[in-house]
Amino acid sequence: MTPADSTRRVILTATCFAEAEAMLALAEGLAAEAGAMLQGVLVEDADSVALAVAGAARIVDPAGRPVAGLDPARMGAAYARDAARFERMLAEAATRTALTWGFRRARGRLAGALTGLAAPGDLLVLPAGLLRSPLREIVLAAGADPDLAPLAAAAAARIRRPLRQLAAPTVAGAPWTGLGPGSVLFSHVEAHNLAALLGATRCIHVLRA
Amino acid sequence: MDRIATGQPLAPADLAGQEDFDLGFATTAELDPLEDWPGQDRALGALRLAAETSHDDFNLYVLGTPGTGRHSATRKVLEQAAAARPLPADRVYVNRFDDPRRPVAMELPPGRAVELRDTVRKVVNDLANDIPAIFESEDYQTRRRAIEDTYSERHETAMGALADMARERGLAIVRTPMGFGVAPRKGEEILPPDEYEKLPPADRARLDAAIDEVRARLEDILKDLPKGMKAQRREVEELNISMAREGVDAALAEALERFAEHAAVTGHLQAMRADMIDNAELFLIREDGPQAGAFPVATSRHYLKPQFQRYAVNVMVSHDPATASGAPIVEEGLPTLANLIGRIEYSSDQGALVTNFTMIRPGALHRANGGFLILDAMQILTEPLAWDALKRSLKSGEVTIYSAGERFSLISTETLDPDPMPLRLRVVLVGERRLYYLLAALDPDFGRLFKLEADFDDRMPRTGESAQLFARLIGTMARTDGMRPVAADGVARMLTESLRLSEDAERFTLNLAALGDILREADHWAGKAGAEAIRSDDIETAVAAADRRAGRLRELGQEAIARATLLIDTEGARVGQINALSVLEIGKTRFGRPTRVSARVRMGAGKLVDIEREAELGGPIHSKGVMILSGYLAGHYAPDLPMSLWASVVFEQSYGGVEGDSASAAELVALLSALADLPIDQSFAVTGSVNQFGDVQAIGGVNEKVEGFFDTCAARGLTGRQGVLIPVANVKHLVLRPRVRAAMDGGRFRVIPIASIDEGIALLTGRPAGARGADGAFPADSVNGRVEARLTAFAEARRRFGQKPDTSEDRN
Repeated sequence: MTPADSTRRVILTATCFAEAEAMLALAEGLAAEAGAMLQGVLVEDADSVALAVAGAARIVDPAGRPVAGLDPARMGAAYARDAARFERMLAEAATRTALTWGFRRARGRLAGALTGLAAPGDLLVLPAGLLRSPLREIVLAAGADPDLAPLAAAAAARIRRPLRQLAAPTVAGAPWTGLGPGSVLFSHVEAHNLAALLGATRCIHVLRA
Repeated sequence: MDRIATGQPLAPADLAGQEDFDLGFATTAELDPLEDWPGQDRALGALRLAAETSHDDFNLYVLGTPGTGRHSATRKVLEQAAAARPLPADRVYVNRFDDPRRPVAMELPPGRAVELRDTVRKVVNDLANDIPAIFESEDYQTRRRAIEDTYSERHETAMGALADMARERGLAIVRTPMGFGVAPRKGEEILPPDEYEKLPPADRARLDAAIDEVRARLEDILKDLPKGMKAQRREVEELNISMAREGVDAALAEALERFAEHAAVTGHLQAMRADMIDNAELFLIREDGPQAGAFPVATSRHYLKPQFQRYAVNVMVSHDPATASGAPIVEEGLPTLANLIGRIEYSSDQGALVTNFTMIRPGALHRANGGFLILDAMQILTEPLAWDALKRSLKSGEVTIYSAGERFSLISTETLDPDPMPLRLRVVLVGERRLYYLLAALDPDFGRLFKLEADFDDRMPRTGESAQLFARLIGTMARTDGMRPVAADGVARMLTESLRLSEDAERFTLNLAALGDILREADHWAGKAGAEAIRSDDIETAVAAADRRAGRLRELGQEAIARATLLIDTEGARVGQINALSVLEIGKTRFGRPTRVSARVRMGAGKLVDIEREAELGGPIHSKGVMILSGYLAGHYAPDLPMSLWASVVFEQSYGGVEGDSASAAELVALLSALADLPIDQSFAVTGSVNQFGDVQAIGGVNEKVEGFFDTCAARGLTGRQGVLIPVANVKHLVLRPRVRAAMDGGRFRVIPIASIDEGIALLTGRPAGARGADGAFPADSVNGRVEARLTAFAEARRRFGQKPDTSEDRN
């Protein structure tokens, strides 16, 4: 069975457009490689919504300037703008590589939202940590779905970056310490461990649902 | 020609004819070709000087009548001079990389412009293959990744440390569509606002301080990010430049070595090197997408791609030593401004007109640079701005390209300002004399820029030697044009026709084009007759056929006379009426015909009315001629009495303009006839101008005039009495058609030269003119005596009229 046979969708999940943009090439390549549908999901993160109403919270824009007058309406408008840009970007990418595609918005926590969306055979592409950097390495976790190996190898070849193996991950353990924002970790994780995984890492994840 | 007796009919021996030429050969096939132009030594000398001297401004105006060999002689002399000169330099335009609006002009040794162009094309082709390979190499990718990773890691480390610090202080940093949020956290989530409010003030203060600290650090990190990105880009650019430099240097090495001795070329190649390194991304543009088409793009002609036009070499002029030698000779038949100084072409790009240095096109001045440029004077003077551009170029010694629209500020689109190209050439203008004299008079630059004139003669003196030269010339024309050789009698007939064309029995015409036309037509007739050589009869046939083709108007005129629509008497005698002769020239047609002139007289106050002038049909020269008659009458007759004559003179049945004074002798004879009341013999026609002393002077078109009256008389039947009185000074111009000469030979027609009006009036009235005797009076029965008596009678009558008592009071 080839990855194309086993992968139904590649779900690119982000909480803002900047994150989606940083991961698009990876997700597009995976979808093309696997012959899967490219699905975009913008999650309106509960923490972000909470931030908009927390009086003590402060926001700094990407250029390093403080943002004043934070409220849920402005945050909602910002999500709407990011969703439109995300969808447009996805459409252009899918047209370029002749992929079928879809897009949707979700609310809640990233891990929770994905648990509701993902189906067996889907490949989840999602960020962890604050920062997104140019991709520097592809990491294949030990114990990951065997189907992920060729996809990881193809991704590494595509971005001309190294592919390395990682010891079996344990959420409580320390194998994540070598991963950074430029790392892409191909692994398998149970839904109930997803939030812990995202909280413990600062890289891009490619997960077999 | 022997001295001619006046008042006597000319004998055929007095006239020029083909029998005059004893040439001493059978056909022109026996003659050596003539390489030169007989009779044009003066013009050829000027041509050779212009061709051989190296001094500036010795440009040349070749003036003369069309058909005298101006073009062929100019071409041949210049070809001889050009062959001895070296090939001029090649010229190219190349891009000025720091200011593309001002393309650079460069000069190269002959043949090397194309070599430079091809060399640069090869460089571009090589780089189009090499540079993508360089930037795709593992070496480049590794070095680039190392740079990017260094900056990424620096940023990641800072952000990671901040995230850790925030976590330690009970805060969370959250990424949102609006940026990064900093807030108190509860576990892995944001502390709800109501819980925050329930915290003790000290805890809230601590959290607030921590938030401010983290926020400040976050701001610093994010503000540093662009600086880091900029530094990263700079390092990547330096890497790119370093990699590109290696490729460009390798590709250009051969070109630089090949043109090492040409400072301008190596300078340009160095500028190109810098530009290629700076713009290496031009070589990375891939032809993907719909433009790529269904087939692979050829890899060997990358230089044709638009992005590489900036490196092209626009060869303006190239002289390949392998196929060309000597200096160029360029004849520009359409010397428009653009054809002369070159043009800048435009192409349309999304509705806008755009151009670049590869769209500069050379003009005749570029092509002729280092050699000779032949232009038609009339054409360059009538082409807008062309004459001005030529003078500017010659004055400045360089060719500057501009358009008429630019000159008049009509173009507002982007254009170029190419370097002028140095200019050193000899310009030869070929044109009419009239233009030369107008330019000399009206254009102050002309004399300075065109110091030489080659004045082609229209005629050549007739001698035995010149006849032989002319025979060789005719033979050469026949040979060059692939005609049959010309038999001796044919040559003699051509020589006669040459005399006829020059209107002078003592001069050969140098209108070679006209003679060539006759010869070609004669060759046609000789061919139809199956002859191996062109004979006299063939020439005669050709001349007669040409006369007939052009003779419709002449025949209409003669027909009008024959049918008595135009009243012309050719026999009998009438008082105050005479046949004058005029020449009509319409297009190529030129013929003579008689016109009746009449005069009426009466007592008056000394006024001679020129009816043509009064009706505004007479030209100034004609009016001058009539005024001369007044002078003659006033000075010749009854000089001590007031002129008491009123007379009128008119060209009967003339409804167009009358110009010239060749009928003034006839008009005077008509006046004298009217005054003397003596009839004039209508068998004669008279031509000639007259001065105030009664001398008859030469006129033009004598052959056509004689033939015109002859044809009128011949149509009615020649009586043997008929003839034409011509000025004796015109006898040397007589080259009459054989039909007239035959009639003269047979005594059926006469041509009588006269020197004075007295000779004419005596012949026409049959009475002696009369000379003043010792008593100062003309013989009473002479023509002059009768004229003077009539004028005296008018004066007496006028005096008596003036003495009449005034009867006005009686009437009152």
